[in-house]
Amino acid sequence: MTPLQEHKMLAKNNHDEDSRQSFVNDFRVHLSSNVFPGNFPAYYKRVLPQFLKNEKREPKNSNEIRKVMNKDPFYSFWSAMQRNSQEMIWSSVIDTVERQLDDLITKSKIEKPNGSLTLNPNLDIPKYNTAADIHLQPGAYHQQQVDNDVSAGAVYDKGTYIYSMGGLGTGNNAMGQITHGFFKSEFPKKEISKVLDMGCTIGGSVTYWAQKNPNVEFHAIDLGASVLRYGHARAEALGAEVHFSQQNAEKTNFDSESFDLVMSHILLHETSTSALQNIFDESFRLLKPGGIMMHLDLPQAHGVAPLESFLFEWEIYNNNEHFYGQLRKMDLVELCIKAGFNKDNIKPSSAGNFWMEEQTPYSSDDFVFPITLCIK
Amino acid sequence: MEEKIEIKPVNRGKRPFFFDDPAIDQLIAIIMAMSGELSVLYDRVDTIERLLETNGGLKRKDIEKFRPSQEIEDERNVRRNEYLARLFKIITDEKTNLTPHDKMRDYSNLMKELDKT
Repeated sequence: MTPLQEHKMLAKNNHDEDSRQSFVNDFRVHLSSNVFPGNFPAYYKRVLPQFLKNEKREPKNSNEIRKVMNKDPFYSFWSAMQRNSQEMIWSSVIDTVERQLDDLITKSKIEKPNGSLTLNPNLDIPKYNTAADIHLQPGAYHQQQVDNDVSAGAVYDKGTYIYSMGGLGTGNNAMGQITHGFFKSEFPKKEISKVLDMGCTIGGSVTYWAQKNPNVEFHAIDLGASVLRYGHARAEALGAEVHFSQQNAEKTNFDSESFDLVMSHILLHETSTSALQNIFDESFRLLKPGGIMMHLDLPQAHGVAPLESFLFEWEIYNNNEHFYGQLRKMDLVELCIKAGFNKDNIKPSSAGNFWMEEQTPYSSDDFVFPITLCIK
Repeated sequence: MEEKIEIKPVNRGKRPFFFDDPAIDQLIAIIMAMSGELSVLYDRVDTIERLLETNGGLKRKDIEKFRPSQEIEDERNVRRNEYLARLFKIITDEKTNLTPHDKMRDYSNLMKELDKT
């Protein structure tokens, strides 16, 4: 596996940890390239014929396929291994972080930062973040086990890179590369002076934006203190100026009409039905007239065949991505209108890896992310 | 000695089990953990061999200091993929056997034809 770009906050592997993480990466690549495709013949040659025989019709939706595929031995084996590979990601990086956590906490305290870090220990963490650990990361993004903890951030940085099998790029910032490339192409003449990134975790995307636009004021918010401490120190280590604060994207303390651009990167699917509307409402409030809301997230279900939908939804049921199932079916345009955007200024869009500067293992794929794009 | 900080090793949220007997899921987890450790050990042996070949001897700290170059990592990557292919052979064989299943009728017909002769 191509190593992540070195920076001061990145926990260093010992010999065996390096090798273990490479194994997990290769295991996941092998599963997706050589094992996963077997689900198609398992369905068409075994599960579907049985369904047709019993029901005298084809399955209507992904839920019906789930019921029958769950009993198929090939699908079960692939699922068991896929789940296991996800658990192995975290166990392969937790040791590395534990071993040097004291040192990472010390390094995270920056005396004269270019950006800033503002934490709110009284912030209520909503249930959609506490009910289950997203992506199975133990303790999720907000856990704090020691004072000034940065472990969730340190584990996230290394773990998500393996999760993506390198697809997030060596700077762990693919989503930021995509939105940046897309935005510059869509709005080549738009002047921006103040930008907010919601649900930033370790700030991979916003740090990339800040590196590319050093004269713009960047703010980034998240619920988790640990990921913010880490993200702040990481951004400083990479020479980017970002102002991190611990806030809920549903209701922030920023002034109304103070931002030119409010964005997020794969945040929406980790929230809830009511939170999603609140986030759009808050985005509308924060934008200056003419300002842009740009939320990139995972694909929706409209127009996707039941089998593909079923396979895509694996993560909802087996990787703690619970709200994604709802989000896939929601009408986001309607939510934007409710938030206050004029119908003519809502432009559902999509962007993919072709906007990235860097070639990653999946650069050639035609996978695209939908973007909820509105102009106030 | 300072007490080691332990990061919570288990995630919240009900764990799905994919087989009727959860022991099968647990066995898969154990087998994959062992497979991972065997791969780590192979890399370590590879490191030792390379150090011995280059330096004629080695100190333990040399192993810790060693990081594969991209060329060596590529070699290891190929080896890991071959290793994984051997591990998963029984599963991918099933996949392969499933794929040409629609040809089975032709095969049966052919067998019947052959029986006649």
